[in-house]
Amino acid sequence: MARIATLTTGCMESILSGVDIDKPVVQILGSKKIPGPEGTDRLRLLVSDGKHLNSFAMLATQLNDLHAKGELDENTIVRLDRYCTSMVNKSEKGDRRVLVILELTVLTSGLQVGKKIGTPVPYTGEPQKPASNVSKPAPSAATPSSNTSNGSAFGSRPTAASPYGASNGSSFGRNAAPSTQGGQQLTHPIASLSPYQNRWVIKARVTAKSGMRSWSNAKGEGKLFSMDLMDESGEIRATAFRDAADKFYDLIEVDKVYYISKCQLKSANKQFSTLNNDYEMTFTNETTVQPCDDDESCIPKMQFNFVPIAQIANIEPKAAVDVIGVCKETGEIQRFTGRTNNKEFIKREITLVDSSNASVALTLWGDDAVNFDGHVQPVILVKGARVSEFGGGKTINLGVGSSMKINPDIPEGHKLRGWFDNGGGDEIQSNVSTRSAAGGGSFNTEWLTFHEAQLKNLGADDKPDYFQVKAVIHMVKATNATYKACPQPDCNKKVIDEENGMYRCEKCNQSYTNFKYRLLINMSVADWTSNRWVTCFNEIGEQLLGKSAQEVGRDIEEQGEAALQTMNFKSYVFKLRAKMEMFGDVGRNKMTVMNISPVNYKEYNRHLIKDLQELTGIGKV
Amino acid sequence: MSFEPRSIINGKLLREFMGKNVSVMVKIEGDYTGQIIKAKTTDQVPVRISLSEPIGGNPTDWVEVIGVVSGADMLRAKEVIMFEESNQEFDSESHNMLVNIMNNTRDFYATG
Repeated sequence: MARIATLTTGCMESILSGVDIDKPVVQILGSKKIPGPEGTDRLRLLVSDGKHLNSFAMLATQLNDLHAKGELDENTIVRLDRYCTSMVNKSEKGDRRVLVILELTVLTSGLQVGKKIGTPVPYTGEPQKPASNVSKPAPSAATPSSNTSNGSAFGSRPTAASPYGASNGSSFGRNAAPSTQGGQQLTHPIASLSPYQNRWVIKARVTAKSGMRSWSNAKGEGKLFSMDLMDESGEIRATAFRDAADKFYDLIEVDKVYYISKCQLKSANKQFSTLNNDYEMTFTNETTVQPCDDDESCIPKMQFNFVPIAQIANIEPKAAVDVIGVCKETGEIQRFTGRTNNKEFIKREITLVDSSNASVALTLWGDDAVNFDGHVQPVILVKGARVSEFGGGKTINLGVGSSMKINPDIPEGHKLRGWFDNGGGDEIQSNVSTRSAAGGGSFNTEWLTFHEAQLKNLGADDKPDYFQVKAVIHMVKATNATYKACPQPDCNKKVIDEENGMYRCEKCNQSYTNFKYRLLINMSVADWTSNRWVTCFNEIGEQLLGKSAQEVGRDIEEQGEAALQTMNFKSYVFKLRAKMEMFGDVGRNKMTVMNISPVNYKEYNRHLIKDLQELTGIGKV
Repeated sequence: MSFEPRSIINGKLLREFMGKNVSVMVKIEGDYTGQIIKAKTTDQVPVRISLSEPIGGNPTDWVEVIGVVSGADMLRAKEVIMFEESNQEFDSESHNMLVNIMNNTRDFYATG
């Protein structure tokens, strides 16, 4: 049996009373996921030193994947290489010192240990009232004393070097700090920042910087800019307003490393920030920013979490993604005026492709759009691109909080270049930005049955929903299947029969002696679950009847309902649009046929097989 | 001729149906004039089919062989069903899936 690492017995007591213990060894006895916004779950661990339990141990988010890989299972023994503690004030419960684990090494896996070591009891030495700003004597690791809340039974005091003792419980300068060994300044990792401590210095790289923006509203006006900061522990958004914005705007340069201190921290507004941090900071008048000229290699370059383009189709709108692709096509600049504020917008759409053999439209705005040069087909990297959905297709946007790099010098970029230059972009199979509303084309809509569509409440929102169904036409309403429309080629407005052989079009403001028929067929279609009344317009109706609207109109005049009988009992794949439409005050969920196609049995079969595989688990890969 | 119940299977399932009546879709490979013909099943297993008499005429790619399993890769054919020439492709993958589902689902034909 493998040797089981020994725990640093008694270290918890010391750590929680503020003593700096170098690389303590503890056992994990449990973990709990604390859901955070936008998938930034944090893990709360129950750790033991063999003597005391501490359930207020938080795992820094960048270590979450360790847990996901199962390396932090129950009973695992780990060495805390870097950690810090901070005081969390919960008014009703008093203060709590929380242990934040920033770096750890697994010494013995939970499986090998197989049991809880010792009989640890919950540590109750806290809470300490915030008023008692006297440095609480902390026990040395060896002190075998019981937990008394006043600490009087404790023996030795921590070394004098400890800067501990600030009344706010800040853990300035604790073990977590020295990330710059030998540097002039002790710095804190970004991941350890919280609103509960304010004496820190971070050494961070600016990964993005916004332009200077101004605002003006009822409360006043001003300007601001923001930047994204990153170090090896994490990232954070920082914003500077008014004077501070002026003061720091020119100083801050993207990709440079700075020492930053004395900012205000607050909960991040995820609407504006896509960074993986629950907090963001604001520059105050006391904020100091100092360029770091010495060794900056320890601060990593930007981190990316690239999403293959083909997968963008499955990402929810408004989410932020990191995408890298080759710019295959470049659209023209488009200028338009905003509907609400008369502001002029400039945009340009470019098409990115990657080795997932899919393409996506990326929208650039403002200066990025104007200055973009796509004819060399550069590799484009976008961090924090916003996914948006339009007409069933997904596009990505270079929005607020996104940043773009052209021909980035990273391995992924070079790989893509090589792929593309060797004909990689020639066989793009899918375009995730294809709009289903455009009709015609082979847009991908979800296969649903009418029953499923009803369960999903399709069309209940403001936005239309699209789906496809294999169904059979089984009832056609002949009354009002056609209407008399303006004979002008581009005008399809219904005309008013003036009962004197003239037909008046209100839109063209003219009377004609003739009109043209247009189709507006209401019919009931059914699949094996249920049926729905759907509406189809001219082109679809002509396709279904195999005749022009003119012929259909005449046939109805002559034969009445019988003229539409040929439509019945034929199966098609219908692409339908479901949307709530208002008729007076009453909302009605209306379904419109966007497109029909003969049933492609092979394709339909594939869909059914997929469903069967999901139901039975047979032959699933 | 009375009807004999048979199972629709693929190449992989042959060994489980030793000596039983089966129906297998196969794609004939190479020569089809002899007493024994070589073919591949929908799951790409090569099989040999022994015929009581050679296939008359010009068989299509895919044929349905009704017969008795005589070895892990052998079939003794009672009947070889040929299909009309058509430009519709035989969806062998889906057929193979059908076989898998039919043979791995309890009470496949149960209703209600």
